[in-house]
Amino acid sequence: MAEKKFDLESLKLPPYRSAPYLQQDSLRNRRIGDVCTGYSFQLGSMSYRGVWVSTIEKLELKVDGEEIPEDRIVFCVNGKKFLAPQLRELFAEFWHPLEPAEVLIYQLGGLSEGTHEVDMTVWRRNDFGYTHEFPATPNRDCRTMTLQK
Amino acid sequence: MGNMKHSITYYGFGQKWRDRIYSFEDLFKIAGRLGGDGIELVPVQMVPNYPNPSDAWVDYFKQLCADNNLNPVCYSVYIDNGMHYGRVLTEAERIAWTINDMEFAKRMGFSIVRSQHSLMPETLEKLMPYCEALGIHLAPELHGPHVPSTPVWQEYLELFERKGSAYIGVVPDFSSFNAAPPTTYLNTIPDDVCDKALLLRARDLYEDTDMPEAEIADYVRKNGGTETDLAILDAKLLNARQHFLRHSVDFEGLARLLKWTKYMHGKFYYVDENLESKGIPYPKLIKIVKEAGYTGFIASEYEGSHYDPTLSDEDQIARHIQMLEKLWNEA
Repeated sequence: MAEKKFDLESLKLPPYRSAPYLQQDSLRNRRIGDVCTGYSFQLGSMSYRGVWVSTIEKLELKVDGEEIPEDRIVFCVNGKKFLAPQLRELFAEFWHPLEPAEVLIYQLGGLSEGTHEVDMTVWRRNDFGYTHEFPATPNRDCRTMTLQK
Repeated sequence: MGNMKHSITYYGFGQKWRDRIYSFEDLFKIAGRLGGDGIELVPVQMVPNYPNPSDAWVDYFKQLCADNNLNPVCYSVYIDNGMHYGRVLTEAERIAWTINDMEFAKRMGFSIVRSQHSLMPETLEKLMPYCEALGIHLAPELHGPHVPSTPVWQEYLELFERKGSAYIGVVPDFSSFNAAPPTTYLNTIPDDVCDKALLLRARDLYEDTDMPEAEIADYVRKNGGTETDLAILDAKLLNARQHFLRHSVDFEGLARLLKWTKYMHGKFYYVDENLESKGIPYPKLIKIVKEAGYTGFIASEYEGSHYDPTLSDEDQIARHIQMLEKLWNEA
């Protein structure tokens, strides 16, 4: 049998879904009246059972190759807005599996029309486990997204 | 000799529920069609505003059970030791949140609360007065990679023996007795990537013979296996992320737990058209359960979407119930 190219690394991923989580048709500019104050996109749930927001230790984001500082990443969940470095404190906020979270970047003028590469890595701990060690592990999703009207 | 009772856990429909193929109300209709004697709910997954559902939602849930003639049996909760940065839960937190869960379980009509091993035996003992007062059987789950001989389960057994209480016990999950991957273990890999027939024969050798693992790899190599075949064999079988017990399944360990068991997770990944579920030694497990005079529930806990998301969960659960009945009658 001829050898076909296949991503063997994918076999090592957990059987349950953690990535992809970037919601393909969710990239939008944020408009307040006639002013564009930034842009946003949505993240689907990262666990079959939902996650405590406090398990998110770090967000890394590049848009079109440009790194966005963590303290400029606004994470929106349960109708509230938090800065990424605050998330680890939010042990009373539960991100339900059916509710997407939103990442918002304030940037006057927003993004240009067309496609953009969004490269996101969410570092998070498991909610539960079989030892008392809960290291944060990276969940990366990178995709080209089209700015929606 | 008694008879087992069947339970259907909504967790098994989780993938399609999360993808919004099923609504919450659909799950009651499906469970009603499948029959069985009870249902299990994972509230953190499916209950809005968990861990504090509203009174209106509790009433809504009870009405759905009544409308579909379903009996709520098991309320499955977690000990989320990872939720705080830099520390695990304190015992005070484990106690308070478990009492909160038991209160909601009782209000919703459940009689069993399944917890996790990390509740810890000394904490379970402190919760016993609440279990007795609320009429709730509180039982941590024995789940892979733990096996009956894992030290914390010896501590739990000591507690069960010392207390002899019907209000505390264990929920054995068949992942702790999982010998090999299911026959669907290659289904997410495209057909033209590897020699699936060869790798399925390797799976059978792994489960059915004593052939050392290195010789199984040699078998694949000598029968035309490519480097890709060998890499897949390694990742999905010999060094799979999920640890398989192969020939070291602790059947006697299960037998020791049954005295303290009212509910167990019949974990499964695939039941074929002949009502066989290879990988988990169901015939022997059910024989042990029946011989112990078990009268509790066996939940049909479907996790087959991990290996093949195209299979029908409803058909698989129906087959699982049929398989359990067949094995029980043959045991």
